[in-house]
Amino acid sequence: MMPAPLGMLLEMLLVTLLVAGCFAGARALSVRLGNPPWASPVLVAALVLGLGLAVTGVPLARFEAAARPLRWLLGPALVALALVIHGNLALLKRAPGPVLLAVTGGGVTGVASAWGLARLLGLDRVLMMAVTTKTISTPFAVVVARMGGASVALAAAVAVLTGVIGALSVPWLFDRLGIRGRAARGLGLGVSSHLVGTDWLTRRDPAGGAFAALAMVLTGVIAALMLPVLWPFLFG
Amino acid sequence: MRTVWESLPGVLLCCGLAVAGGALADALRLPVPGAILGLGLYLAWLVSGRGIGWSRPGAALLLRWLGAMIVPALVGLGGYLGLLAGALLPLLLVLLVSTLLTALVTALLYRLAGGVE
Repeated sequence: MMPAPLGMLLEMLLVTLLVAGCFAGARALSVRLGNPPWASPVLVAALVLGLGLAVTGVPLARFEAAARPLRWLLGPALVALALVIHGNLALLKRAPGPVLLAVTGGGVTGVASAWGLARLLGLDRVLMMAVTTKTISTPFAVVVARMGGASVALAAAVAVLTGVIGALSVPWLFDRLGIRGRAARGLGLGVSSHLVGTDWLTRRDPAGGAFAALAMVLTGVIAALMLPVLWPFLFG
Repeated sequence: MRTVWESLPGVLLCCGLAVAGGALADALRLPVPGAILGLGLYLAWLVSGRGIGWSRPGAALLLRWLGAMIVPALVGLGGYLGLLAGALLPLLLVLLVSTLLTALVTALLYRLAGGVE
């Protein structure tokens, strides 16, 4: 009886170290390249691992079973995100009403516009479900998708892609429209482009990045409370 | 080795709160991911300011490796490549338009509501 569970434990340990190693390597590469939005470390690490699986012929199901401990840690890491809200609480207390209104309104716009556009363009139902979580930061999107029975892989990919697209396009839009306020820009980038956008802004303007970080986590919490209730109506 | 010992209490606390949040959501039949409830509990504890400093190194460690915990979900994308290739352009269009709209509405709402800069 012993060998099977022990083998599974070793596989779990191996996969955890492998994924962590790939992620660390991809992060170092991104730093070397000057942190461009398109070199998202999670995307690069997933690409390397996906290619590795394809080349070695290891079935995806086996990898996913061995990655269970790592996926489970996402829950505790989400809990730890309270640290980000707490660290930027002063920004929220300065103007609680406007911040909460902007984040909630922006979040609702993100969900509704993605759902409506996807419907209009006739996207597949699986993709439609994935785009409704696009405006929330990837860890939240994964947890919400898991709960709602949507594809976790697509939700994660769409969320990361949204961050990359947003970091490349939202600052340009704000410049064109003359939106220069640090808080307005930070909140807008945080709600729409979550982690990649927040990272991008923090490197250029740490004070604006703090607004983005706060907006990113608040949007995740608000959407995680809202979407599981909303989904049966959108896709019932 | 010292950082491991410094981080352990916070990591264990976050794990405990995630499990507690899940149990709470199950018991009350709340349609909310358990980890979100755990986040709320941790935030309440941080705001109350009662001796929670020991949890910070561990929570920060989890946040530093948050990306690695998302990677397995993205690797699962391999099964959807056909679906994605078939709808890539409309999908990118949805993401671009919706993302710009979201950013604009957020920034304008903040201004309209009289937010300070």
